[in-house]
Amino acid sequence: MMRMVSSQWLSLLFRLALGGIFLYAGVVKSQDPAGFAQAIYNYRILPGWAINPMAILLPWVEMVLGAALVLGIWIPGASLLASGLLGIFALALCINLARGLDIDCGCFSTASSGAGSTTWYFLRDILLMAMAIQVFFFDRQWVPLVGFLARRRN
Amino acid sequence: MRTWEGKDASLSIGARFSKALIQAAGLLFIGIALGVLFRGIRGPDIPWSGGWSEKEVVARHLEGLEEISLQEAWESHQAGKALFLDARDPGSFQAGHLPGALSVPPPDAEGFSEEIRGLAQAGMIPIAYCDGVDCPLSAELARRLQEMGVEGVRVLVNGWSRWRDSGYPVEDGGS
Repeated sequence: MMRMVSSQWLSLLFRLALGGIFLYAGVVKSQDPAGFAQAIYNYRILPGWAINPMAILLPWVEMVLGAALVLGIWIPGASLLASGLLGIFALALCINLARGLDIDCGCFSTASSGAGSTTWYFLRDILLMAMAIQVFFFDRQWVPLVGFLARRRN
Repeated sequence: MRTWEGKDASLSIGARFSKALIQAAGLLFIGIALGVLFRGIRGPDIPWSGGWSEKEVVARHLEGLEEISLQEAWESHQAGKALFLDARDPGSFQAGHLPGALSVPPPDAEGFSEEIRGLAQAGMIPIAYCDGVDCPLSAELARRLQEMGVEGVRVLVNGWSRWRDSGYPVEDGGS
């Protein structure tokens, strides 16, 4: 079991999948900062002054992070940052799950539908975070740009 | 357990972690710098700050819609002319709603549009409400109904809380 968890193939798969997800998420969000700002607002966690800077800059951090993971550049840092971001998202979801806020519309609701989707987002987030942590500990820089260039230099 | 091959393998866990932290900070910085740069090149979509005070959010929701005051809503109700439309989720509606209200979450607007249009033409005032000052659901419902040709829909901002807190009668159950 441990061998499977620490498998470098699994790391490679996770790293590429995470990188692709972050790249995609970043590109989509960077196209619509106003929509993303509304989504951040709906979480009702950040103060008003922080919403727009977050909506403008976070997609770029995600794109850089995604590119680093896919290309194999600074993998320890990229996977650590990915775990950190996913951890923060999970915390935000958890807070809203606890206070019964439907983050799809930013409204407090007693319906299970809102809580249902928040629970699903939370579980998905935790799964991605587990993948990032696995990459952090077990990735051996397979198919990396930096590793490849370093090997060529040697 | 061998991890982090190459020169990193000789590092202690603490040193590896510090290295990863520096890299993470670097990536964060590059991302932020690119974001600022790209915004400078493409021009701003949204300003760096502003737009999220309660007043601004409510004004944005109500754009192109007509608000109704609590007093006017109460008077319409007393005159038997108020047609309250509860835009919240059905669970919240079940727990309590304004008198005679219909439960119409925005996605269900189409199914109710005929009925509401008929009642509006007969002199009733459709009043959409939800809960919370910046709850977007009532405005969303009003906008959808407007698009479906229902005229005179008004929005009672923060309707549920304000109505209940004013001591006006409420109902529970029903659908």
